[in-house]
Amino acid sequence: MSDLLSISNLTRTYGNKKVLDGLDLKIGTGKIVGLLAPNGEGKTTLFRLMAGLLTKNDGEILIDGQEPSEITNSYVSFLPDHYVLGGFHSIRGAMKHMKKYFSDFDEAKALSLMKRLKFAPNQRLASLSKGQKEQVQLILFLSRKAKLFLLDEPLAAVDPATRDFIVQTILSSFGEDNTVIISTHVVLDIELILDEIVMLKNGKVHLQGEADELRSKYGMTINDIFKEEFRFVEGGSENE
Amino acid sequence: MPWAFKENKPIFQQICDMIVIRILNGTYPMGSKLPSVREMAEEAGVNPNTMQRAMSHLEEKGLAITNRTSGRTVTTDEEILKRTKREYAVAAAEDFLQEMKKLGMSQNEAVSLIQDIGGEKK
Repeated sequence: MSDLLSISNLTRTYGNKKVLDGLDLKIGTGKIVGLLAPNGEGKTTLFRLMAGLLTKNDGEILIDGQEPSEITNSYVSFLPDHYVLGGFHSIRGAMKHMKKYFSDFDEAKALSLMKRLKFAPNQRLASLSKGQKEQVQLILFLSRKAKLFLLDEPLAAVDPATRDFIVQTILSSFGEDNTVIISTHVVLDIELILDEIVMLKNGKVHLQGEADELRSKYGMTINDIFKEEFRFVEGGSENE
Repeated sequence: MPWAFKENKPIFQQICDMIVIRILNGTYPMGSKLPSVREMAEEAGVNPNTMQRAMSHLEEKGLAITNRTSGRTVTTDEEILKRTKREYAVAAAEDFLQEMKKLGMSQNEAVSLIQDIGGEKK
């Protein structure tokens, strides 16, 4: 069986800084993976490379056997950590766009999730708060039937009630035939839904393993392991 | 009964324990159909793979049975339920005695304490 995601020797530099320095990573199908690292350790760079929005300096990325391209973009849903729906007038407009560009967009699912959060399709995006805009964006990107979801810090700016909704939504989009990779530096919020953990450090995979095995091995929560592993990172992690 | 996790213990083990307790206390009665893995995972807010692993473990222990027509059900084997109940009760009792020991109580004192409290409750 080939892996859904297979990355070898991936290198990306910004000026003199090697953000990713010969990174190797393999991830299979049917998993919810936590990509954990403090800010500035290359999580977003890795996602942008996988989504074909950045070019690598060296190495290889294969997603279902293909280099990032229009082909992979048809089955990879990348949710950026910032708001990208600024060009649309209403929720309906943004949905139309998703439908046009992504053949796997599930409009019925998006509408039902919108309804649950009490959004109306004709609502103007400009009238929403920052948090609400992010929720709309999350719903749109999770409403694709993608093979690979890349969620960049989806829980960074949400209140606890919305957090639960987002976790439920992630679980509802997840199945045996896809994989969800969630990047975060706030581990505690999503610890229970992760089955695999990948920690990045110094441009490489520092630690990879099954969440429950790591809990047994260390006798700690993933959150505590994370704090332990990054305690001495220069600049400090925000969890300290 | 809510799903509440201590996150430093394998989640799969904790899920097993919680489902076993629900079986023993009759929330999921003998022979009844268990909710689907997906339903239970969403209710508990955990990864479906972890829930699946817990269910497989319960099947290995004979507490749950999968059959083609009716999905996954609780066992109807009273012997298994009895044995499991004793296992969990022994573990709880051992924990209790351990705590009492820490407080400097002998086993006899601990036992009579339980009897005293039990008497008050009646």
